[in-house]
Amino acid sequence: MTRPPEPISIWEPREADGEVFFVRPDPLPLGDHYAAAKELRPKKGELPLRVALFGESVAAGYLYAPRLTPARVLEAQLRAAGGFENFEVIDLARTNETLASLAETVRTSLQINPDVLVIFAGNNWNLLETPEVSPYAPPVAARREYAATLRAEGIAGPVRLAAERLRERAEAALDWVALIAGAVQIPVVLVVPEVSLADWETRQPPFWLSGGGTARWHALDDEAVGALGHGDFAAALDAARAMRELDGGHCASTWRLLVRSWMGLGDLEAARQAALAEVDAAAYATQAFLGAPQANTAARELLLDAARRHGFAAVDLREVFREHTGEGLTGRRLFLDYCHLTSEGIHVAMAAVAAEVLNLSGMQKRDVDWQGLLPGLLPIAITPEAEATARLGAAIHTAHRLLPVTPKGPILEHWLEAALAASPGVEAAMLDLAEARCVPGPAVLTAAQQRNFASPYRLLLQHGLRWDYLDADLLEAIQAVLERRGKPARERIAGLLLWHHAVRDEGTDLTQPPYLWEPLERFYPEVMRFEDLAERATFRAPWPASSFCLICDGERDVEIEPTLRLPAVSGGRAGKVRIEVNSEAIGEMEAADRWRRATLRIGRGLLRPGLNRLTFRWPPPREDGEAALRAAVARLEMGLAADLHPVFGEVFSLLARPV
Amino acid sequence: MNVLGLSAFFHESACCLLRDGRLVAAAEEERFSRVKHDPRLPAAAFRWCLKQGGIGLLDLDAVAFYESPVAKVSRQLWAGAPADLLDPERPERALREGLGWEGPILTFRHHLSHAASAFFFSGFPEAAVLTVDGVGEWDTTTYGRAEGTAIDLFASVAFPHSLGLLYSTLTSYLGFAVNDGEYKVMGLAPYGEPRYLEEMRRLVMSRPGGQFRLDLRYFDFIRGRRMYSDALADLFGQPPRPRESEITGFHRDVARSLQAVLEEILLEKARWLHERTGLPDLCMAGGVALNCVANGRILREGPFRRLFVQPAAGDSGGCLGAAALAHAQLTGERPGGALPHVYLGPSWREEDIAGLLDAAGLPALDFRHREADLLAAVVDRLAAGKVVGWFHGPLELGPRALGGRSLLADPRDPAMRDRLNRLVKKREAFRPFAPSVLAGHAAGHFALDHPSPFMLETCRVTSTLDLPAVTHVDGSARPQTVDPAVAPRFAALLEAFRRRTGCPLLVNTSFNVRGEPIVASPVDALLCLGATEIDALVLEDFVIDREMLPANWADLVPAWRERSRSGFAQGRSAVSEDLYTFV
Repeated sequence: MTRPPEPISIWEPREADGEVFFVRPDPLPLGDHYAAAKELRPKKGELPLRVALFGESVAAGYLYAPRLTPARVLEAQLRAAGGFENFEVIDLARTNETLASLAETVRTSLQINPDVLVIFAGNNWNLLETPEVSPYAPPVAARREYAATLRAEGIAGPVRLAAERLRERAEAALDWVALIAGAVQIPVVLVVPEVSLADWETRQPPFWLSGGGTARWHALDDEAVGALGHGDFAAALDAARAMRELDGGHCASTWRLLVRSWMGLGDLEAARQAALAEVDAAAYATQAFLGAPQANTAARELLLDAARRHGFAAVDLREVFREHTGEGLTGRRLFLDYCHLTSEGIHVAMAAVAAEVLNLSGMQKRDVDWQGLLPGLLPIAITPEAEATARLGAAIHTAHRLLPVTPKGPILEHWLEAALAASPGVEAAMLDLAEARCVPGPAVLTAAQQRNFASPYRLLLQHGLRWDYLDADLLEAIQAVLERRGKPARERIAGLLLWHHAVRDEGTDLTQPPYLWEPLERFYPEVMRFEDLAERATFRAPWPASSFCLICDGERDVEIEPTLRLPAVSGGRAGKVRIEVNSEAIGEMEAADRWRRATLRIGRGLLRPGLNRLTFRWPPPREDGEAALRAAVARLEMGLAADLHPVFGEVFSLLARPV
Repeated sequence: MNVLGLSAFFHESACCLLRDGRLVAAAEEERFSRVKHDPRLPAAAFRWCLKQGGIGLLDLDAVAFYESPVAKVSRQLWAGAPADLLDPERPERALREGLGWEGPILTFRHHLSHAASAFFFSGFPEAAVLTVDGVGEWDTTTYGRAEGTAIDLFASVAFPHSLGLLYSTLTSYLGFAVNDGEYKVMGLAPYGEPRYLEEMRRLVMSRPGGQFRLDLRYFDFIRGRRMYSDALADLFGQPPRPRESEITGFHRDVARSLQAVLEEILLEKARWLHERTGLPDLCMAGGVALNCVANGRILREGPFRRLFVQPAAGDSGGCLGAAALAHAQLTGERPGGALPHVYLGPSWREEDIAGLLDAAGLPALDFRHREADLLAAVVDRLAAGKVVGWFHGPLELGPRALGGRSLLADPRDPAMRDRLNRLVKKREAFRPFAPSVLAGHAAGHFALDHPSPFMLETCRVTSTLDLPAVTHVDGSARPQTVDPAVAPRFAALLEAFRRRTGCPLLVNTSFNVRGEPIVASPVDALLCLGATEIDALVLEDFVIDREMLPANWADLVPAWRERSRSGFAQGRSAVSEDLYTFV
């Protein structure tokens, strides 16, 4: 008795003329997470050799799809090297893929008779595979378990617990893949991801540190960042090393400061080691903010170990990329962002996969390697417009996900310049994006988005089209890049901002969307707005400085009226909050652990027409970090949400009005 | 004295603000979060109420919460809820940590909050009070007398014996979502015959005085995973209806029988309450008070002279009662005053709407400072058989659209009901629509001799006009009488339509699609326009016809909305669809 057909991912079974095939819904006009191929049909005959590609957003060609995907590149390379009729690639990768879903897709893909399985995953594991190991996990049991490991082992406890859970789940999923592949005797190629080490940064605050460690750590952080800004890499290195002593190496920010210091001092190997440690330190279990998915050491080792145990072919992109570039610190040449590949990155990665597939195919007279294959392959077929769109998408996505230790302007400008270099016409897309951001409503309702949709630089949801905030850093980068090319973008953008967002006579509350300067710098539950997590009515500052977008005409003074307080675990906190606009001090406000309200005036001489940056610098918390952590653990043990990271300040409202 | 009332954590969170006893702002959280029935801490509604009241956090004197968490936990423990889920300190903690509130928190019992939400805003100097819902802490029904600042609830029925849970159980058995489908069952009832009265009276039995009892053998909501037990299906002789499957005569008859028995019991208890209090006026609240068919019978056949049902009679309205009780407690004065309307939510400035439309590149018709021309343009469209989204003024509080966020259509059009159900609201075909009628003309079309501004009672249609879109199968309707003093533009529109067509009423249904809250903002309205078959949108003084929209909005907007519902739970209903929310 044959088993009834099952869906393969989003491809649903259909039957016609006695044949079963699989059909997906039409792709959404603004894109979705899946390959665009409408139909999947079982293979007939031995050739072409069918390669099925599974994996996460990297495998799906994030920021390039659907115009360019790794699956399509791989197919072109296989056909060029192995014969056009001999190979085809079925794209079953998807953005936000998980282990369980991947294993299931592998299983159901057997219905279309793949001959080789290529699995390219591991970047998502840190963020998606162990959600219960987090201080923000809602279930009471999860919180209690977290508290128990934290109490017993310190910060290493939850990290260890998450690693163990991940090991169990990854091994189970990969063992299952091995079983499936073994049952039908088809080979598996595991692609072990590399991530951007040189050009991606993860600035996350540390847990409460014992004694006065928290205040000291942040003072050193200021010192290190200041030293980097002056090019004093030795001083930055000293400060970062002292930070590492305080945080025990568990804080990604510290490692990034070390990376930057070592790079400045020319020790690239030390920088590389620090970058690897940074990726490992950005453990979901201990993060305050939403992080970027990057395959850490544990994920890579799990993949390599599975390859060894099961006899899978392994393509280690770390080795491939290092050999290809001659550099140990991979960066923007091969990566658009934290893990998504540039077209060159895709080309090289798929060449390495193609070599393995060719060798497994049995069709080659002798084994090939990617180093020999690559020179003979034609460059990736991509239009300048598609390349420019991907690079613009990199700028947007970076603006939305990068947490850098120094301002993100330079990297954003790099990608915008790169987009313009690929195709100067993308300038229109930049201006359309800026216009859409300035409108107080979703981009989909704007004429700007209509223009962009009809253009060769169509931005999809994967490019970050949907965003509830002004994208201040990105707007500034667009202005800077276009102004350098002689385009009056600043005036245009300022005009749009003023029309829609100039502070009102009755007061505009800058703590509300879209006026947070860096919305990503908020505690995880406050960003994600999960259904089962409580909303907060206040803005809570995880760093010593918080910035807001103040939009005004620059011709009148502006009065601001903050209502704020200094959260304290054990009460009694007090201090002065320093307030700046566009890096110029405008005054101070006395604050304490209960709400206070004050009015301050900003002279028009300090204001620019359009976007201004209003910054609050919070006094450091002086509490004993160990006591604060114990109090947080006690809350977790009671099943309550807790802050393991200090909250520097809290703002209920920040009204701004012209005077 | 600034008092904020808050209801949250079970169904429909909401906030309201009383300034010196006057209700100045109220809104449900779902309208901001776009999550239907959002029960979470109403952070957005909280902030909005302060803003609307022109005050800051430090100007608030007290926050009033609509139920007693400790009393509630005792019932939850009795019902065997897992101890891990019981957290009587959660409301206070949420107010302190989530809202940042540092001041006094006053807590009032759930049914007292319901009672207060009705009485203090009724305008009656004294009245009998009847509250009926699923369950509060322990009470499911209370009976009281109110006068001045005092409300005395002198009798009650305790959980698990509950008319609200009875109705929800049968709602679930009939294949509709609990806490959402009860209204549909009420609308289905007139299509059936009362063939199952005997069976229904085995589920619920009246007792002397204000009491009644459920036969718990037929219910599983106390400890089970669904509302009804197998015995209930055996009693009716048919299995539960799967969601979205065909509705048969059996289902219609069960709905009719349920409605008949509910009305029977409510009338009986209303008569008893009248005997106990001797008062001529009745105030009602609690979710069951949204059963407008029963309300209509209570008013027509019951002993009370006047009936006031608080428009946000469900849990969202509890915040009004809590705030009113707090004000009375703190000042010794009666708060409120007759509630003239429920236009208590946010509104938008014309210039903001103009900016949005300009940014959208839509060639909207601009009727600023030309109201007569605007109304003529809208009447043109309505008379041509078009469905018009009407966005005007402040958002309504409560489940009914009353001319603030309404979909309007010609009630004389025989095809209009099907069209609205199928293409616009995308909902079940049997569901009726309600009319809005100029107050001065209501008596000429309905058996209605008093104002009915909140669509909370049904009455017979007596009109000589053929009104298929708003006349239910039993000849009834659920009208809103529109007073020009209260809703001047909406009344002016009705008047303009009357002058053009001779018909002083319009179909008025809520401006939303199935599964979503009523639109609140101009952005919500535009997204709804883009995702449905609404023919035109009136955004204050602007008219946008469907033909003005970019052709690809029909694909782009649903795709945008679809993605916003994926991933992180935005836009989805927030309460269980199969089981009443007890924890």
